[in-house]
Amino acid sequence: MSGGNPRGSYHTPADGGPVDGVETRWTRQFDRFQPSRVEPLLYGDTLYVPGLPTLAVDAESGDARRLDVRFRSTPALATETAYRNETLVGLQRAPTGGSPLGSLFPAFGLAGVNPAPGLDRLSDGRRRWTFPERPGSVRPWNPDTPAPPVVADGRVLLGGRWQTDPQTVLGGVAALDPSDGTVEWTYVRQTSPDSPVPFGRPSVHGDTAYVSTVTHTVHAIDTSDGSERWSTDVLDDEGASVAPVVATEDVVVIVEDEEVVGLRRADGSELWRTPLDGFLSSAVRRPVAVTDETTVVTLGSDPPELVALATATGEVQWRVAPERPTSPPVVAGGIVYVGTDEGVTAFDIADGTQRWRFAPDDPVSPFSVPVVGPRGLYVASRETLYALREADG
Amino acid sequence: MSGGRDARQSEDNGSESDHDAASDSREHGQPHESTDDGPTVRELLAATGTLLRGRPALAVPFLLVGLLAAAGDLWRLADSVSTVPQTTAQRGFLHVVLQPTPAPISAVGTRVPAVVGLRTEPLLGVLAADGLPVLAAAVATVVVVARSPGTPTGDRSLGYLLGVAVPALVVYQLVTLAAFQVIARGWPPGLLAYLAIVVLLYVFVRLWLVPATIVTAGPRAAVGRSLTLTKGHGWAVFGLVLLVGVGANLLVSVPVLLPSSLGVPLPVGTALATAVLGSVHAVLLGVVVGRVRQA
Repeated sequence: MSGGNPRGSYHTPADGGPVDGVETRWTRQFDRFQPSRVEPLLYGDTLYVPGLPTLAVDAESGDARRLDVRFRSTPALATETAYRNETLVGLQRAPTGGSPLGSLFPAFGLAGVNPAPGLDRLSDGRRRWTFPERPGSVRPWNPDTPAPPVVADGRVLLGGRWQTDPQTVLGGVAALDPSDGTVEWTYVRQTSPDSPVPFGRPSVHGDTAYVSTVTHTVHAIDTSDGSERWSTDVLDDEGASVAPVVATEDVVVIVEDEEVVGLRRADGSELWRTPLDGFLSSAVRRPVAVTDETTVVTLGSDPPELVALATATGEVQWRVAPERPTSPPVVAGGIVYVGTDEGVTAFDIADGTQRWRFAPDDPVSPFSVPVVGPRGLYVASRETLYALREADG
Repeated sequence: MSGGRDARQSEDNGSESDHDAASDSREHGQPHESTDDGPTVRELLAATGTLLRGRPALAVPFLLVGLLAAAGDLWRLADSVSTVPQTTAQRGFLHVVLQPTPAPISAVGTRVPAVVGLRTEPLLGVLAADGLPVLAAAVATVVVVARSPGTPTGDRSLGYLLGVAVPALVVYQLVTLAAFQVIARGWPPGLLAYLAIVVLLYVFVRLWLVPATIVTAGPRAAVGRSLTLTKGHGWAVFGLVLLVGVGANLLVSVPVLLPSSLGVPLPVGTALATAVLGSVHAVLLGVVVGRVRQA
């Protein structure tokens, strides 16, 4: 799912990524250019590459099959369901019903999709469920970057805005049954009946979801029943986007445009606030990776920077200037991996030292979010999927 | 139970059963005004209404099917497999519910892709909730058709009706619904789809009496018998199909047509539509077979 796990931390416990050097295990050429800012998903031996169409790639051999599915956000995988196989859960463009305003105000639906082979012959043969059912729809705050769903604690959590009937638009978080998409609870905040508060991607840690809004308030929500644990205003003004939130064992990290804020996970009180001395990269949707010890943020300044802070105190530990990052940083096995315009670069999380750089000839950039699995690292340009591993010797 | 207490001879055995059927119709006060062109839609509906008023017991089988279907809907709404509401809110008012046989008319639908890959337990739940009412409707259809005066059922035994007619009816319904599903899911592609819909509608009308002729003539002769009986009466049958189909869409949508403050659950629409239109549809089949043969 987006962020690599329910917390959205881009911190992978797998330690199969290349550390000291890199070589190519296999490559897979796409039939057509994939969209930029792709975030592949690794489940068992299958690497799902959302795109046009979505590909299911054998992580061992690189063999690929096409799924006639187009997601508008990074899908999540649900496995604890009424089905024998996994369900891909993602936003899809909803039919406009012939409305001339449909193209101006695109509507989405969250769909649970069966990725099994052989279901594309019949139209719509993969969709297990949709939320909300027509005539309802999901109405993202920013249609170009809709908040992706999260699967955690046996539920699908969706932050954003949605409507179940044409008259009422709601803003908040909806918790759905991953088997059939039925609503288990909603956490809704409206400034008025006609003015929903758009929420972002929830970060789930334990039995609590932490989620920020376009009004810069962070809410902690009990995932079992949708009740509020606490809420805190991080900034006073209303922004143009929803800040990424990542929960760790003790700290909830919020990455605003010009500063990073740490809140105490237990009660939402402010622990620290660190100016970034730069601005977030607009080329990256969720430009932060967080471990219990270190928070790494991607800045889009000139030159671009990676900034590492201590998660407990917010103290800046190191800054480096990589090639222009096109992906969030991903942390695995003590290494920070970053997709760039040229390929992938690896840094030591301890001090920011560059460990290696992978730069294939004539790549069609940008490069995707790197995905680390037991057998290595996977990253995609717009035309090629690369499987990388530790270099021999 | 024997098939048709008044018909002592099978339909194919000559005119005696015709005579009996006609006598029976008069005996039960049905209008008997068929013309050389055959009965009109209005006449057939009037005869059906008269018959149901005179023999309200004919409505009991589909009342039970309606309750069973509503229970199935309640189960489906509570289980872990997605459902799709099937009311005017989704389909509009002019939607026609095509029913190849008198069958449950459910406000809670199941999409085929939602069933693919299910674990055993939820799969059995869906099959039971959706399948048992269909089976019950097949039994109810056979009972109503066999007990409708004017329907030449001959001396069909209970074993025949339950062991042959009911399974044949279920198979016929599944085959017809499969054909609908194939076209609904985009085959054949492009303009050929419209041609396929026209052909399917024509075949649908000509085979509309199959649920009755399975009872009267047996499964092997049912299709041929329906083709014979509907010859020259296609528009009348088409009218009945439209009336039953539009009525099904409206009745099943009663819960969403009423004010939402009343909170009428969808299964109420299922029970209502199935009980009323299942009975009307089944009795109509018997009436049409009887009337067309007389015409």
